[in-house]
Amino acid sequence: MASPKVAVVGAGVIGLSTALCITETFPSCSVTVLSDQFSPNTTSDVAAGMLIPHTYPDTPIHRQKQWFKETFTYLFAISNSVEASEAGIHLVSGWQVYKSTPKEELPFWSDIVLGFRAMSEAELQKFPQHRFGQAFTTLKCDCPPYLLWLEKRLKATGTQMYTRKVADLWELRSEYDIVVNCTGMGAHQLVGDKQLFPVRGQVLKVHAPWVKHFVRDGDGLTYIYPGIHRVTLGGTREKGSWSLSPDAGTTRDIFDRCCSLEPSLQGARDIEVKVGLRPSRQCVRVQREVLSQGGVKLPVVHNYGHGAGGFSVHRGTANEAAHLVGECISALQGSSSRAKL
Amino acid sequence: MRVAVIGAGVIGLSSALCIHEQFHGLVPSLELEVYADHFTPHTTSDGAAGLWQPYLSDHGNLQETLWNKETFDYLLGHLHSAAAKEMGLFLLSGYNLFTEPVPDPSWKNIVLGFRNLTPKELELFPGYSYGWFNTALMLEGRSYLPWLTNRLTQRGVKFFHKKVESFQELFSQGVDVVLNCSGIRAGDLQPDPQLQPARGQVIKVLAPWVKHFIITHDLKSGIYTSPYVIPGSEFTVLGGICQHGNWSEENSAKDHKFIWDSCCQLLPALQKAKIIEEWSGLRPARPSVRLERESIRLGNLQAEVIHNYGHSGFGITIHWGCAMAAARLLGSILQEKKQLATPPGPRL
Repeated sequence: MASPKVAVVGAGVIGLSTALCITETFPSCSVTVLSDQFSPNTTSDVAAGMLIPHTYPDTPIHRQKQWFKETFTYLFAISNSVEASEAGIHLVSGWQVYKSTPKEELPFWSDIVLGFRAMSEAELQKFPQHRFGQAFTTLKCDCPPYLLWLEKRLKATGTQMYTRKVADLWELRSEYDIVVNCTGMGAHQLVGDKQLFPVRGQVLKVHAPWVKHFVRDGDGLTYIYPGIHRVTLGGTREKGSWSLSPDAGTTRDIFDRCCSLEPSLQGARDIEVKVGLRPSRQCVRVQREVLSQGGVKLPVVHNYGHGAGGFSVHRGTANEAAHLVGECISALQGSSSRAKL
Repeated sequence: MRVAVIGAGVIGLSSALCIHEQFHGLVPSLELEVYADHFTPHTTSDGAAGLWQPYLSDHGNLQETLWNKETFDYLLGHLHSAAAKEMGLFLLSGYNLFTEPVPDPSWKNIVLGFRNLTPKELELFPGYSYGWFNTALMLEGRSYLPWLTNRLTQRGVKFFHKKVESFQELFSQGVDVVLNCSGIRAGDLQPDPQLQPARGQVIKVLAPWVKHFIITHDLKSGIYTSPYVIPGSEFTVLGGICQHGNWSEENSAKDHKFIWDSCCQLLPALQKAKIIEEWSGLRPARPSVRLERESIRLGNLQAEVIHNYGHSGFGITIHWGCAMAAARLLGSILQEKKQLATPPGPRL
């Protein structure tokens, strides 16, 4: 197998970063990205892209920490380079505030972000309804820029990208040797994964360029994330809701909650409302599978179910998925050399 | 009672506002006027990035540290007000970088969250081995000065666009007290060899991905002679020039190159930033701020001048503390002239 043909299905942050990892690790592969949506119409484009991990209940913490660390290190290097603005990666400092002291005062990622510490009394005075807080500096991946930058790097390696709705992974068996499933919420239909469920998030993207810090309520529902050009205000976590239509009452509620954290947002302009469905799962599915029918086999690597934490672990899970693709390649080469006997 | 303020930079306008707020109710005859040859956006204050940060050391000048603190606390108190955006006021965090350990600054407990940088943070800044992180305030002159002007106009304060040639000129027109907030030009009104220009040059760029201030320090060559990057609400200011004794307000190509090259080395992504504007200005440098009364004999009249100038590169940082001190000096003058009643006693 001189040049394995790999199809990556999905062009959000997971699909594109996984495709890039594959081309970087296995340059002899020919990688094609297939997706019904590309930036700016993916779920990733709705997200703020903040590197603040979500905790997956059923993934071992050390594995989540490894994913986050790899992602943070990767983006840290980009943020420090001449490409930072094109890639949409920038450092941002801020506060995570709690109305009541959390059980876990030191999250697993506290030593990976920069300068993590408890907020001082003086700092907490800015948040009269909150009694405890953490200050730190982390990274933000602005979309569309980050996705467009990934697409540009992929094109430079010769990766082709096609708009195509894949109805069934099996349909790809004649054209590709290995399929990588990064379809996010699409996996619910595509592979019938009933453990995958949407958590609807509505956000506002506003013009408020004087807001230079993030603020996040520890409950995860209210947050202010300043991006390059717009500030993302959120949000909602509606488990099981499939609706992609913005809700006006929710918009008002999000705006009010964010203004109570940051009163100057009253002066925000050009409010744009967006909705995304976090592809949620008790654990991220990064796993190999072999589909087979009538003697024909199709190796598949799954990489989906990142829920609220896609950006935070994307590079780590992409690395792992690329590694699994490597195992698929070895297995194919093993069987093809056996076939030669 | 006519009080004339000379100068419409941050010092003149804030002193005027502070005085009006404190005395207009107590002194019904108070008439406040502002005279200046330059108004926003053409003052020295307009060129400053607007970051609240004193110099590294106050050289034992505790009075200035106190004025800095009063200013910070005053601004912090306004942060959540409806006026904050219009004032150009917002929180900004960032980095001060050094090539060797330094003592903590006089203002470490004034700002929020002051701490040393961690080794990982220092990886962002090759060449720097020590530093601080803290949260401070931005007060953009381009917004603050118009805001002050609006507040003053609403209060009926009159503005005169002219260059005052002497204190005498105003006193002969019937002004009772002059507030001298003439900044770098104070020497034109009364010679002051201690007042010298500390010329600065800045490049304003579009770099909205920068969310922190970064100020590097070269202890040997002095404050603001080393690159700095300060993100505002619209533009990011790049600087690193502080030339004592240089009166030129022309942009220098050599200084441009120094600022650009050194800031791009600090933040490589700046190479992609679009340059919007370049500006040079003269910090009114003085070993200490001149904030004091002076009685001037004019014939058989005693005229009063309150000096409030020489704020070097920390005018915005110290302005409100000085405005309040100037207002207190005016209060003593008003009491002496029997314009201000002594604390009210029981009516007989």
